[in-house]
Amino acid sequence: MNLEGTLFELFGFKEFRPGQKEIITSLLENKDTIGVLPTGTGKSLCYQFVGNILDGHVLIVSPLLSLMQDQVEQMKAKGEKSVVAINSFLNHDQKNVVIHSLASYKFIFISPEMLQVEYIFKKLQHLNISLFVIDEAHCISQWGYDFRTDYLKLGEIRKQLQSPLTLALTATATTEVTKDIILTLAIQQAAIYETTVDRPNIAIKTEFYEDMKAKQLAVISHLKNLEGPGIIYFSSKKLAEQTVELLKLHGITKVMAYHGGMTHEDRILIQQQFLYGQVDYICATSAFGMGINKEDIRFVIHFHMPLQMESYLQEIGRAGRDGKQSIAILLYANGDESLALQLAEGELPSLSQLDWLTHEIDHSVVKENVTKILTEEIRHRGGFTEIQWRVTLDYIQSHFDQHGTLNTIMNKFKNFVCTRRNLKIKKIFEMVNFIKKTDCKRNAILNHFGEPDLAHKISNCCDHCGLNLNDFHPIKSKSEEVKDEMKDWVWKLTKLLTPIDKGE
Amino acid sequence: MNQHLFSKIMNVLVGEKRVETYLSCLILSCLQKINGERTTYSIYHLLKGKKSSQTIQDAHLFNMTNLFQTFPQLSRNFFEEIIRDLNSKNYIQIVDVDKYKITTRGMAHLEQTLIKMPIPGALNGWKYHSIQEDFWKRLTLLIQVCSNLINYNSSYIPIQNDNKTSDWVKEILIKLSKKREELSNELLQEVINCLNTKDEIMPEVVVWRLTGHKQIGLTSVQVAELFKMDMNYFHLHFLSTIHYMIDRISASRNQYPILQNLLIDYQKPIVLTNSSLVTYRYLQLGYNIDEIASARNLKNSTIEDHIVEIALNETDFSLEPFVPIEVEHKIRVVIQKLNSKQLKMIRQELKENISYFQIRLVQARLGEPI
Ligand SMILES: [Zn+2]
Repeated sequence: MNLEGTLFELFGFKEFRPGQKEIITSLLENKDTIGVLPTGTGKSLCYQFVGNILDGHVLIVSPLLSLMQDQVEQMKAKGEKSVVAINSFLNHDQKNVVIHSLASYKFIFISPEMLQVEYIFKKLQHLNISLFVIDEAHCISQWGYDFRTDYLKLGEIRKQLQSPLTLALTATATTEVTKDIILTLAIQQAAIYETTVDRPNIAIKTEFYEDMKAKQLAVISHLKNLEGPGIIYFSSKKLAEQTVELLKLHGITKVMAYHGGMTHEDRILIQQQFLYGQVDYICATSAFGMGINKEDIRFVIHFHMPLQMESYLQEIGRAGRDGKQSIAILLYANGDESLALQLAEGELPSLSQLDWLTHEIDHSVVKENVTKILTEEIRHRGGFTEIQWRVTLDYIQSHFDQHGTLNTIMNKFKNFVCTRRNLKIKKIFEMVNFIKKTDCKRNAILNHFGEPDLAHKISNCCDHCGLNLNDFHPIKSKSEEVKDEMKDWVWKLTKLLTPIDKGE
Repeated sequence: MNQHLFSKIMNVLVGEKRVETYLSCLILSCLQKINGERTTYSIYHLLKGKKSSQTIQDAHLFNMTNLFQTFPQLSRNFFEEIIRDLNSKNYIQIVDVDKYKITTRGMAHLEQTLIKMPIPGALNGWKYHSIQEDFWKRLTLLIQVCSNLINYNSSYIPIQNDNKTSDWVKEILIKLSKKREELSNELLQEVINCLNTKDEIMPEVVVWRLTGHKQIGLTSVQVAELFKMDMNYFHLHFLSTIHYMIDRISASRNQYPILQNLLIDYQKPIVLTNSSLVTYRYLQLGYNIDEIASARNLKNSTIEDHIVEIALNETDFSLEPFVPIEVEHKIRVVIQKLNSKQLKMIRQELKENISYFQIRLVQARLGEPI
């Protein structure tokens, strides 16, 4: 088969990106496959391509709702109509309609919790599933930074689906994580394809400041000097918003905040404004960027450190997709790790919360009723955050049938929480070590993901090897644009509803 | 930048939620209307759009139906903060627990603000709160779809992602089955006609939020900044313009063959709360208050609340079974004489064995029609 020909026919591209062809070939040879491809290098093309060739359905498990929605919308936008997402965004009626007509969809995205719903799963068992895709497969691993207990069940689920051809995808995986994926999914013969995590066109810089205010000044100065567009990542919504205000006071106007607290409509608008160059800079929380295919992002600034190397790599990887010179700058102030530790802490319930919960719930409860007992009311009384509560529910539900009583499960859960907490703390200190490292930053990243040092030095590598900030300044000054607010609304409306090229 | 300038800028940012906004002026104008006869929370419920009999009755009684559910996101804490702020500025003074009257100083401030920024005239929260969101979602998606159609672009992210809205657009396109150029052109004419008026609306606040092919609309915050408007004031203007459009389209549907479809499955707001509707059915079957109360296992006073709500909403609903005509007349005279809405005062003045329930029914008739 001429894969390039099919690629052009289906997607309009002339050549594959690194790793894609190998993964597709492996799947077409009917081999279970693990693909480690950095975000934004076209992971989804792999299963779309294979799905178009094989008969039957492609079932894609994806843990992040927003990411799933984005993927489905992008596939639809590119003309793939036979795609559907089953997740908690659907209301009861919509879900029924979708489930009823499931057989008519080629690509079925599903969240792990929907896989646990019996009547949905029964329906899936009756379909001919030719490819089973696990996106963000690192969530399977206890060693992964985003371990999800409901992902552990995927092995059992795969078996009950008659062990279809399987593709596990992730952006980053250490050796331990890969081992866990193979074991859990029972794909011992799997072929593993990894591309290097190195992105040679992204220069890596770390800057040290006294405190938060000094970091804000640094952001102002960078935005005035660096070539845009760019993203500035924050750990706090409030600080992202405040910085936007501050930047505006300094005459940087094409800047917007973006975070999970905004409405869906606002988030889409800002994303699209950024995509079409109406906005140059986004001050965002990590919620931003997952679904965005913007090629020409010139810089990514981290106002706060990410909680682990994996996130850092994914976030800086949003720069320079067009292959042109770009830069990633991380701003560090002494004590920043305490905020990171605090955030990590908030993702898991505390031991005293769990003791309280153990005391509070009825121990004679049977599996079927356990979700009825763990109500929102209990969540509030125990002071669980949403994310803490999700972890708790997931764990109790997925471990209930295995061994005995609720008591033993709660004890196990406490051990689990301790292990997870230690792992998260370890990851934060790995991040701090990376920031403070005085050797080549690029090699540090490569080594972290099990790759050797670079063979040849590159220019504008990192602050240790040397980089020239002037190379990241714009060549020509930005031209003045016509002020939009000077136009009247009839003109604006007419522009929306008449062809753009008319009369040109 | 020197440290001094920096701290100056940070000070601007500290007041994250600015208490002194148009919202506080709006609340002041409500306090003026209820004149200490209701607690401040009646205003809170009104702005949040609580669908209780009491809130709905008060909205009509004090002529504030236009503001119903205009701030559904308003938090109790923030509302209380505004009340405290108004009090500390001596714009209002306390007359009872949670009851305030506007002061002369407050009156002056209110008048001054309202001259500069009058409450948008087309605002009609009570009538349109149930349709406004669907209307907006449909309008934005329809325009985005048409804009991309005439540019022969099929690859874009829809601005609304719920199936309900996208199904609606699909249906409409099939139903209208026009050539894309024709469709866009006619839609453009209809929107211009609908917004082109000498009335006090700001079409800009809606038009700048619309998205088309390679032209992405602004968020509300961005539009407010662009036109240098207070965020809350922008929000009211936005709602008002939407309400204005709905008003015009529903008044002459034939003139808007495309836009009238935005109002599909909308006839009339759900006027009565569900519980009142049940009571209404019993009344129509000839049950009296006691019988309904025992049949429904509710208190008599609750049934009376329902009946007041029905009286407010149904202009044909006869009060006679509850208030004899001559009693109704007496009550009317006293209400007009006292010019108050306080039941206690009215009842004292009447000096007869007339119940609060009867007074409330007559009040309902004197209130703002729906
Ligand atoms: Zn280096």
